[in-house]
Amino acid sequence: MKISQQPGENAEGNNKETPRSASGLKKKFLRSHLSIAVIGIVILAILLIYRFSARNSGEHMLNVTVPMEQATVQILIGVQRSFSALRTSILLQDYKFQKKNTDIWNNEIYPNVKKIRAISHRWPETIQNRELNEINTLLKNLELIQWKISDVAASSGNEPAKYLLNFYANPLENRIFSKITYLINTEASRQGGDEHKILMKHMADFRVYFQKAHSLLRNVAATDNITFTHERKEYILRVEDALNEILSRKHLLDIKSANRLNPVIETLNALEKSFFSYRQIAEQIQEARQSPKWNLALYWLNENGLPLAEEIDQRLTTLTENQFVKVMHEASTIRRQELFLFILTLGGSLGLGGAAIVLSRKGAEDIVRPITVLSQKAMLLARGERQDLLQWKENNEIGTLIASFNEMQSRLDERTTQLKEHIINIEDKNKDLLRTRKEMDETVLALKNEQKALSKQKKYLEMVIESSPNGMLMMSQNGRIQRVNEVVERLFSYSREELIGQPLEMLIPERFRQGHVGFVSGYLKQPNRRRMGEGIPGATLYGLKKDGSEIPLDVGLGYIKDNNGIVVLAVIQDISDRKIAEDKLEQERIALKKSNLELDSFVYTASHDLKAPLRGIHSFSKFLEEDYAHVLDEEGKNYLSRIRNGADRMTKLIDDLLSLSRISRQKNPFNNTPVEEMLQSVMERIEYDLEASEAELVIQKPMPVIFCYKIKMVEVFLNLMNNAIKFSKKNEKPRVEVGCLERGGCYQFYVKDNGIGIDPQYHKKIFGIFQRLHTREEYEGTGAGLNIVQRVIEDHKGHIWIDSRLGDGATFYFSIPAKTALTESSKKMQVKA
Amino acid sequence: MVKTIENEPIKILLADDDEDDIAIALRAFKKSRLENEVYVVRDGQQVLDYLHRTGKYQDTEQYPKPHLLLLDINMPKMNGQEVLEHLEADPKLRRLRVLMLTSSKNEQDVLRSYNNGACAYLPKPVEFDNFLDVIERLNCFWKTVVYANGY
Repeated sequence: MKISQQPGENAEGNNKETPRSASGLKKKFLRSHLSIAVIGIVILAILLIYRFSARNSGEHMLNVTVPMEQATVQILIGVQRSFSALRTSILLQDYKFQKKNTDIWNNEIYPNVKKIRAISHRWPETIQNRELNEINTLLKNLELIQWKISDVAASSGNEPAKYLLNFYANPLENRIFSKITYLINTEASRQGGDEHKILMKHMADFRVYFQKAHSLLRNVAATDNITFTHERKEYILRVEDALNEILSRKHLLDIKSANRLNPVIETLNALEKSFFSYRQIAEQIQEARQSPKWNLALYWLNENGLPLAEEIDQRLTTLTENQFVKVMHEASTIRRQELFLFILTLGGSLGLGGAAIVLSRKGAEDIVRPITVLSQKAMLLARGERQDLLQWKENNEIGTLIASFNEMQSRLDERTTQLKEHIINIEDKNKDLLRTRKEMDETVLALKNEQKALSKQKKYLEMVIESSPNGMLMMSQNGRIQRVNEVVERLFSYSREELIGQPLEMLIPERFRQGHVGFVSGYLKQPNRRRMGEGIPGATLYGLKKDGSEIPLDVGLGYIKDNNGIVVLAVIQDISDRKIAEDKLEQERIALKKSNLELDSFVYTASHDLKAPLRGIHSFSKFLEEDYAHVLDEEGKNYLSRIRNGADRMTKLIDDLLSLSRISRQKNPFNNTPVEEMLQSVMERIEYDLEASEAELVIQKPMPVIFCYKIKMVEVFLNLMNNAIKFSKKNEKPRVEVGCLERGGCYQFYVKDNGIGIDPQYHKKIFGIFQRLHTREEYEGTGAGLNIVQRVIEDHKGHIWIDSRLGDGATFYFSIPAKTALTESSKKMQVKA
Repeated sequence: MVKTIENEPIKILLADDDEDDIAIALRAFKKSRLENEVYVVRDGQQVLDYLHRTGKYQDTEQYPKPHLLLLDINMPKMNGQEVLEHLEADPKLRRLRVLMLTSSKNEQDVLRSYNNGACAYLPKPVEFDNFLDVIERLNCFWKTVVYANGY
């Protein structure tokens, strides 16, 4: 839109711009063409370098390989010839061979060693240099040994000479041969081992093996040793192999004259023929040696074998020389050809590069020109200027491009009109959107406020947790501490950074840990809200502080279910103070119990001791009455009876004391006992009194089953019913009623009589120990009974009271909790039991 | 007069440390005409000495083998319960009939006595009536046991 408002103002500026962009395109074209050309040149250069190196390898062959092999073969030949000269000189005792030997060493072997050394600096591997040095040393040793041999041979008897030959010279020779073979092989395998090299290698093999076989043949002829025989045959086979290899490469010997018989091929054929003749002769010699005609063997050896061997040697040498010359010739030819090729390739590639540059420049220009025009037009069009339609006659890509441009221009007109309408629409919609956005902003604000309120609430909750007087700890489902408040930090002396994320077990003393792990998994399965350790009587929980000390704790458990599972909330309270107080209380309780027991046992023994003299008083006063009644007057008898009564009363008092102490000493378990059963046993014990007083006893049935200590409870009923009968009016028959009412979880028993009654002012007093309201003359008794009753009722967590007025009968009430209310105490008793 | 089946008067060994009680018991035996057949020791150790015939009790004429032992529980040196345990452990003496004497009605004492092989329980003081009573009650049992064992 903006562009369309400034039509054509910058037209000239635009025109200036366009060629620049077009020339940019042209440059790009040129650049791409040039890069292709450069790649081509690079490839060519690589090829050239390869060529050059190939030329180098040809040169290497010419200057190093062939001369070296030539020299080594010369050395081989020399060594062989020296040996044969030596042997001949020893065998035939002919000294002209000694001279020949010296010549061989000086003229053939050492010059060749020197030759190899001269080219050795061109070897890429030092290992070959080392080998060469060793070969040199070995050769020198060999020469020395040879001289020694000839010296020894000059003296009488040639056995020592043979010994030296066999045990020193021959091994040396073998080593030299193997090393030279190694050198040749190394050279042959360098740079892909071409067939010529391999051929030369086989020629060298042939020479070495043949020489070996021949020297063994000599040994066979001389000594008839079976090992030599076998070894020789083996070497002959190897020679044959080498020969076959050479024959298979016959065509390499002379390519140009391969079809007609030329001298080289003739030599090869002659070599083959000579070898087979030699082989035959050698077999004959060997056979002859084993027959009685053994001297024939030596004869044949000298007459036929040696000349043949020499012939073979010569022919092989000819072949080798020929081959060397040929290889040299070929190598130099190749070198020349390659130089020519190199120059040709270089020139060709330079010409190619030049042509590529010129052609690509022209092609780029042709393509770019219409595009430049088109791009100018397109740029003007983009600024809103309408352009004339372009004409292009060629029916190629550029033609298509221009046609498309024309079509695009007409469509653009159409679209512009549509777009204008569309923009008006969009402006309307924009207004709507602005409204919506305002509404959204309001919502976001509201949400933000809500969030603020929430975070305030969250902070408040956190403050609640922090400021709780109790320790609060949250444990996640994996048993690790999730959160603690300050009190927990203080309790365990850990900072919250040390605690959070750690396993909860770190706060639990070692001895409880195992159990605690089980407890946690159990709790997670069935979480509830309760005190920890609930249901384990007397259990105290302990926490482990950072310094390793322990604190007694009270822990309340709760849990929260959230997305991550269960979070256990523990409210922890330090109960050290409480624990100390409890412990103190417990100690005091034990001390009290002990002193009570001591008191009881004191009462028990004291009563026993008191009773003994009383028995005496009672018995002896009785005996006096019985045995001496006739000498006592009435007054004396009266005194005696008073003594006896006093003693009896005292005995009864002491018995009551004893039974009191017995009641507190006996700790028999409580039981569910039917009251009717207890009343039955009471009635048996007061049967006599009931009959004597003609009393009427009414028992209101049914009676409940109560949880009680039976013997004590029987004592209660006995005492109360006894009293009811005892304190009856003189002129009225006693009537005793026993019953039970259920009142608020308690059984309320009563024993009612129609007796003399008790003045309310004494109602409290009568429960004191040894309290009496009447003289013994009126009513018997020690006054301990009601005290016993009260103590038993209190032991049963009940209480006793009386409803009575003087002269109007009395009703004793006592209540004890109904059975269920006592179950806890029964549990305690069971635990103790 | 109480006799055994062989018409021999019962010989009784009385073990008690209280002189009053001894006097009372002796009167009862006198009334039962057993006076000459009652032998008295003053503590538990003496009971064992008498029965084992050691110390001064070697003379079988003066201190014959008793048919019945009246044993007080509370005695110096060795109390009645301990004596009972000794008797029970000795195969020669375990057949001796023992009546326990006690001034207490302590259930545990009584129970322990029976457990240790006492055959009856006699509350102190041992007077003529109650003594005869106990003897009478034991009578049937008495004959068979004494007869069978040749005691």
